[in-house]
Amino acid sequence: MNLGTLSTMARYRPGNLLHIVFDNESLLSVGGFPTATATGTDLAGIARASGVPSVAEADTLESLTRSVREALASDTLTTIVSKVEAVGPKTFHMDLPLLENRFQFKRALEAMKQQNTV
Amino acid sequence: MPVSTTSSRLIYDALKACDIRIMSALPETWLVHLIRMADEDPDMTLVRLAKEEEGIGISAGAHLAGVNSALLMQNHGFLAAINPIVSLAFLYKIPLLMLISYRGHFGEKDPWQTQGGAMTEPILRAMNIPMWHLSNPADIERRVKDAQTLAQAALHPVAVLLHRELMWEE
Repeated sequence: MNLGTLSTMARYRPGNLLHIVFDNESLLSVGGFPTATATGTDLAGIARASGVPSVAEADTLESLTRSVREALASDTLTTIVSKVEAVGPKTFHMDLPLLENRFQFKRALEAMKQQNTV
Repeated sequence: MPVSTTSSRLIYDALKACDIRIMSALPETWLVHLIRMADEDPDMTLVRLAKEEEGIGISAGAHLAGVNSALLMQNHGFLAAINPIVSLAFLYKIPLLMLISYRGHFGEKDPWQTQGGAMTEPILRAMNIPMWHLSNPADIERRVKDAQTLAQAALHPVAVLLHRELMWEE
């Protein structure tokens, strides 16, 4: 996403949107080039200044768990910035092809909609 | 203002006839009436964007949730949105109904629009995005409907180019 999207999110404030940024401060896949957040750019500060009504920083498993629970219970648009270590998986291969995932997701949403209207 | 209210109304009604319920837009002179109509319509959700590429995400979400949407953008906004069109809409087979104001083409007085005008069609063709030209009000209803039908059948982006003859009265 681009930074301007924070202002679009803040403009409409969908209460059912929880936005989590996992920030490893690097482009890991090419060996760890530092990104702007490694040199001082404050994403949580930008989210606050954009008008996102609830912004949290959570750099431990415990604080992230607590922040996510609070955000889901709050019915308030929330951005959580979570600093993580720059460690990646051995492979990015997945057993679920992109298009299969996409059609599964759409069908799951349809099923949820059906359930809610019954 | 010389932006055509009559053509804008015909385009808006054609979108409504396609059951479009979400429209995303950035402010743009030729689109001003269309954006206002969407804003004043209680049955339409207008999403005002910071950048055109966000509209691809809005339409992807709308499609996955089973809602028809349309994107209003200037051709320079289309040029700015190419990456998400390729890496989200093409990759995940998301239909997009893109209404693109065709600035910088014949009749353009603003020098800064002219490069974008010259590049719009070649880039649409290079991306294999089907395009309809709209320059005659009589074509609006049918071509908007057919564009939406193709987008839904192909699960692919389509472009409707809004020409000066349609949008600008002088």
